[in-house]
Amino acid sequence: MKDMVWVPIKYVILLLLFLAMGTMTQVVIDFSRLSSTLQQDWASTVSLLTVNGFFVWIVPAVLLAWLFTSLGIFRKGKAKRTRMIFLTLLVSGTMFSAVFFMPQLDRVRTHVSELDFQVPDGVILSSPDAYFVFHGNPGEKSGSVLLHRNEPDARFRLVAEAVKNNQSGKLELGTGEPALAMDGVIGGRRALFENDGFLEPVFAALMDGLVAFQKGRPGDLFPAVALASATGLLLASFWLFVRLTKWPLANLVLSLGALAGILLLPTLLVSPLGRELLAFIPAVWKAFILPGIYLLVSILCFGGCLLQPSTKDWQTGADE
Amino acid sequence: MKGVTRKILLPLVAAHAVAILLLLLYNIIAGDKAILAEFAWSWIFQAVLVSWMDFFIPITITGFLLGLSVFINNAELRSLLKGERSFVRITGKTVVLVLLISVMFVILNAFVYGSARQQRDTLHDRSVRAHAFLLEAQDLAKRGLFSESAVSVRKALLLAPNYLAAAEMQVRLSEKSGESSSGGHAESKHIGKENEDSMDPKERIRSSLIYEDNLKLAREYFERSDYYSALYFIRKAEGLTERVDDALVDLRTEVEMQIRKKGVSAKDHAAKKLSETKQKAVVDYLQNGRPIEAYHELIRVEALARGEEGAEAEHAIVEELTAAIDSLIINQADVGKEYDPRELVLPGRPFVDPDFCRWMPEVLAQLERTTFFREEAETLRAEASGSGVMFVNREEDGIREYLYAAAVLEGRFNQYLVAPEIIVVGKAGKVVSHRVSAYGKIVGSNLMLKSIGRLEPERIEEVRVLEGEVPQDTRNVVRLHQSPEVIRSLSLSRFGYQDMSVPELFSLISVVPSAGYDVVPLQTVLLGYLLQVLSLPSLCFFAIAWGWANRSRYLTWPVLLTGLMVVALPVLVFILMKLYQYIGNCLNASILMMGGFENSLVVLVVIQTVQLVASLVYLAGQTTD
Repeated sequence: MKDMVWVPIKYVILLLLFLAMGTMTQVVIDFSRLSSTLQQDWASTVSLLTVNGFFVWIVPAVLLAWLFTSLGIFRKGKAKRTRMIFLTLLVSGTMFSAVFFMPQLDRVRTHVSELDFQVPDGVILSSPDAYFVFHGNPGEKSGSVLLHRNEPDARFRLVAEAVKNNQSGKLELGTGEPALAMDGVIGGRRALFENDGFLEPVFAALMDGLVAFQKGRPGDLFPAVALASATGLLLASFWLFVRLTKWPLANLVLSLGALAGILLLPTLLVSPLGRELLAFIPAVWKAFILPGIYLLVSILCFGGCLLQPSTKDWQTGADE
Repeated sequence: MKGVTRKILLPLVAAHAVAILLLLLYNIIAGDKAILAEFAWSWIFQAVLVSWMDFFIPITITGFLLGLSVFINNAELRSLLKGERSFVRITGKTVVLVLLISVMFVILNAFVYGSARQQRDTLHDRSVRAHAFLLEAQDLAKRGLFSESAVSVRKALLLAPNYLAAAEMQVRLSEKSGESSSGGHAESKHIGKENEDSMDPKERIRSSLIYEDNLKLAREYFERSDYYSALYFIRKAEGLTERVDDALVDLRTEVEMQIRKKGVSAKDHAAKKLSETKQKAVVDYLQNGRPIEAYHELIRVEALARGEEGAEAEHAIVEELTAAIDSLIINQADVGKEYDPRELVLPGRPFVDPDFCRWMPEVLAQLERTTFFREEAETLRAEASGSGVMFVNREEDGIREYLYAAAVLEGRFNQYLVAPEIIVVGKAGKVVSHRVSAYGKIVGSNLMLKSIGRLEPERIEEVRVLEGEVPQDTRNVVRLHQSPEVIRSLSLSRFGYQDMSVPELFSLISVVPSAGYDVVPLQTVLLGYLLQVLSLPSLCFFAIAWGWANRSRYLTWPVLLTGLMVVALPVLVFILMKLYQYIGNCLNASILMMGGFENSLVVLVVIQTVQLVASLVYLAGQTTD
């Protein structure tokens, strides 16, 4: 009875903790990137950013909460099946909520991407292509821009007006001049929030996965339930990794790899190769591809679980 | 050190030892191929140190995680614990150890890391340049230009004193020129001695003394009809006083008259031409503040004195003069002095005209006050890889003067800017003036923009005004409001502040806004350094507690899969640490932008302290069950 209470409490606490930490960090970072005009209207801006942060972090928070609760159950090698079954049901439920909320993410993210990023006025910025300074209004349309391209025989040029395109992340100079990429600009504040080259592929893969997961979300209730249940079942079948070795930390590494797989699989499905391979499947059934694969993998993993020795046997041979 | 502490420490030391060994092997096998053999080990040391510092936190975390979760043998541990249930009671020494490690790392990071990176890069730069000088020397020697070749070899040896190939080349050149010396500085010492011998010691001492001595020397030379020497000492005397001495004025008038008479009364055509050229150089040009023309005429004087005329002869003299100047620069560099053309003592051989030898240093000194020889900049540009810079040089009443350079080159004593460009932008965002030059040389707090070539003094590179009006008298000089050190730092920070040490960051923090840069990126990097004092211990405590909580209670010996995980764990820790640093940097920057440096420091210290306390509480909550 104690387990029936303690496992869900621990899971919910961890879920809320990860969700709160992720959302708060996201809000603070996103808010500081906004222009001062938008910061003045802070109440509506912060609420929009909070909703965005919540939707971005809900799936990772569910996965992480599941992982740490599971590891806690198996840590001492004395797990009871009831705990895991209860956890699986709980994860499926919250995952269903997460999947249910997913359509909102698209709408909120559109609003967030429209928000203006800070480009300080009168501050020298440098990119691999050029040095440049804004003189005048730092809004969407700048005042004049003093520009020095990193090209042989280039000279200072004063461009009368430039337009900052937040969608493309480029500075459009008009008069037929090539636009300047604002990504990778040093000296400006936007650069402070760009990750280094090493994390780029990790982030890209995870975000692509999240977006693809979201796109794989079916519009109807029945496929949504299928995806949430399949994900819950898949997580439950990952017991295989959670208790694969007698070393819990190694199991954590394996489980994190398996969780990354949950997010990377949808990316593969929406890739050109994935689309080509799945072209023969009728459109009606496409919403069930992802849950189907998850179900298949979870059956394989459950098969593996059956072959694993009981955790009671871990103590056999140990130097007790 | 006994018991559990040793058990925890050994895997930590082993993790660092393995990491250092791997980094060493990597740098030996796949290191920088351009490094000269004499710098190889020094470069490897710096490269390993830099990489080790880069990976220090993930290695330490991995060491703790592995040590506490998999490498402690259960039976042995139980005997060490002796029935103690509280884990934290037996890890008290480890806590102290973590604090010591953190302090050591922060000190290394703040004061050693940046300079290690710079030294590593300097060794690369010196290797590349020394090798280039040697190639140049070999090329010059093939063309029969042995004295110029010797100078290039000397430059290579200055950059890399134990560069074997350059030393061998120097010996070969010495043998060719009949010199017996084989030491690194033998040639310069020889020339120096020769120079000393060619001067009257009394004259050397007195010439640098007081007004009366110079005046007396001027009179002596006048009486001996050596009018150019007399004029030389008159000028020296003039430089030592601000008052108008009638005696000196009279003597000068008489000397100049005699010089003109001498030209007219010369016996043959050659003597007359020589006399007239000297008169032009010294009286007409130098006396009237036209050193470039005076330089050119003096070269002609020497050519005429040798009985040679024409561009080829003059080029030969310029090359000999350049070699003498380079020797002076090298000799003065050896004793840590800044190059001063006044100290140039031209030897009697190969120069033949005494007035040329006496006046040339004076001409060079005056010439280098308003212009500079661009050869050093051209050589540096060819050999070194300076990075560009742009900054606000001056800002008054909303009018900004921007300075851009394609590269900042570090000479031995001077900085040069390649293709400097100065634009003044007015209040309404309109260009007030815009000028460019081929090279700029920083002398004191001025940027000189007018340059000439030693071989082609007539090819003067002056400032070109592209827009607006700039007064003629200030056109070729820009008063710098940023120091050479700041300009250098700004060029180094072209791609971010991560490579700079804490003292360098502190030195820039007050300057960066006036140079037109946003201070927040710099402050973010600085905050990152400062907060490591708190973040590193808390990460270590979390790692200890987390490793202990997830230890392998039933593992007798790591099997294959566990062994593989031992290798995979550092990779995962590295990724997670990168993620932690990234999120930390984002948070630091966000809070900085909202609250300013001081407020943010307080807020972030509080956050980090909470994290530290949480890690200690988590550690304290661990039991030996």
